[in-house]
Amino acid sequence: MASAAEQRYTLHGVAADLRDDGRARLDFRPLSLEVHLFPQASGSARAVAGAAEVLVGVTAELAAPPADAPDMGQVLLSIDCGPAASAARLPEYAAAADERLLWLEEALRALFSRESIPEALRTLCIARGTQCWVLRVHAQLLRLDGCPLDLISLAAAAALAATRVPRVSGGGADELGGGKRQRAAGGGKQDLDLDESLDESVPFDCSTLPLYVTLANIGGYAVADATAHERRAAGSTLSLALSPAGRVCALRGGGGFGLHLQLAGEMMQLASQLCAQLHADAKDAIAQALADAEGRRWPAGEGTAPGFLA
Amino acid sequence: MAPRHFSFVSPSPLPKARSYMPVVTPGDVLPAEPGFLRGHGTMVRQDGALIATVAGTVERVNKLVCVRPLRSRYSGEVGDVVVCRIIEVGQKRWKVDVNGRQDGVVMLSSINLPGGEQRRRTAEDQLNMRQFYVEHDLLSAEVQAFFQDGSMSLHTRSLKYGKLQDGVLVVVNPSLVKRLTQHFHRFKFGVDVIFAMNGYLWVSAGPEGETEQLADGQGMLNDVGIGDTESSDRSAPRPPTREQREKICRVRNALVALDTTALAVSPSTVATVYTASLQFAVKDMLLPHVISTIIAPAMAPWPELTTQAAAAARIQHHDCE
Repeated sequence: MASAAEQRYTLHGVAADLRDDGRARLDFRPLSLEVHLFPQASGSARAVAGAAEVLVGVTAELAAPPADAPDMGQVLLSIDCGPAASAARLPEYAAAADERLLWLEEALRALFSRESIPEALRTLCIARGTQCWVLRVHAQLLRLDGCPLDLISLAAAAALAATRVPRVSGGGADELGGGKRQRAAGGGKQDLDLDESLDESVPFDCSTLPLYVTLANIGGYAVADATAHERRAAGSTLSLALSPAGRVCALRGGGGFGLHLQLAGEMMQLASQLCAQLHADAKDAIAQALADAEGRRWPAGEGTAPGFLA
Repeated sequence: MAPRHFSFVSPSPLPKARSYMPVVTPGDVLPAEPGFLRGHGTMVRQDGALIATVAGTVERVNKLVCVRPLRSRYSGEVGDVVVCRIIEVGQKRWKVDVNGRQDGVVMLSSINLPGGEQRRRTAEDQLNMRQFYVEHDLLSAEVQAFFQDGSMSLHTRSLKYGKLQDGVLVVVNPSLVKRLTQHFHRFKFGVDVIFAMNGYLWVSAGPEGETEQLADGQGMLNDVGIGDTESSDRSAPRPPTREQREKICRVRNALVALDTTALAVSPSTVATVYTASLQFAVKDMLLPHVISTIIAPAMAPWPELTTQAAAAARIQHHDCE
């Protein structure tokens, strides 16, 4: 809810390149990332931007690869939001409130599709046609404020970067020292050995994961990381997902208004520049978050709560 | 070189203010003399001990023991200045959000008519209610009375109350706002703030270098509850200049910094944080390390607390033991 006077103030602020919290039009709110929060999950991360907060957990399981892509694993995504961030408060991507979560899931699924990250999915394959890893990514929206797509994609990238899957050796009888071994009874013909000591594990290759950047059209200007308050004065939004190599993986509109073709072109240009910058900065930030987690001696010992739970 | 649009910060926790008053948590046993009276926020355990049911400070009036919660919705008192948002236009009344347990009500009979006309409200006025206030509008108002069910009735029958524009709303925890002699505050650096008791603070531009306090809040509102068509004759609403806007941003961020660190929101703390923030760019004010720097002066012990109240708190604490 925003009165006409507040919307006018927001519009004037965007035109003056000075938004309510002092940011320029293309500035993001301070972002923070934390990884390795849950010892039970294969990977986990939390991303915070201003009043918005997302928690992502990744679990790995073994399955048969899809028939049409026998050499690829899968990344499946689901999103949920708690009572504090109900679906009705999500930005208006889709008409009905209960379809907005589905819309978000669909938009984010495009990031982890075979077309977007074929190389990363190939690293998840264990035995062609019979065994592969399926990474289930679950994003929990804890607090909502503004552009959830950007924050979820960032948190998911961090969580996947922190994901460790056990090393799998194909069906030999030789024993490696240390790790407990287990027979994985997949549907395939050959038996697999899992090395459960996570120190030995190979991280999922996440260097090619795309990230979303959402720009909102506020009074004819492209505005990045609009807060919920600003979105009330906004027209349409445009979300662009770019891989680190600069390939467009997804493009989504939202907001329920039209967008002038010329402005849409400008917004895409700006979004791709921003996205390239975000990739560079996020890479460092994820590396820093992983180093911080090492500093906490993850996985946490008995009785010590990790990260923000402390 | 292209400007940087991203700032990744480490998720370090912010400093929290220390409470000078002893704080109890739910389940804490409250020492009470025999024959005590059980107040709000307390209950009697099966063994007869009085325990707290909310986290807050203990208040005692003779034999009555209450716990005033640290975090709660706004429960007003008659005469409080509040900022509220219209959520529904009804018959003879507007329903407003006051950050309380229940929605408040502004009666058609408790607003000023255009031109200060004094008369009974007619059926025609009822039909024209949207000319005064429409849904989502923000108003400043005063608590007039309480209904039987505990919901509050507000009035805007003074020139200082009415529709708000050309500013930003900042929502803070209502328990951080204390009663002041004057809730409409004009800062020296040219920003007006309404320290509304319900935690909805309104920040707007004001003339620079004027007196610290407004005698009656006059001149603060461009629009005194008059319909859009008629407001232009008083003083045409002028959008704030970039300099004014930057000051508004700075005050807004100062309020957010005070709220996130659970510090009292008062004219003195806001001015302190504002002054301390001048060495930083406005957009950097909400970075964690900047927040801890700018709130540091506001965290210093308050003079009024160090002497009398702190002594009282000590005595009370002593009683508890």
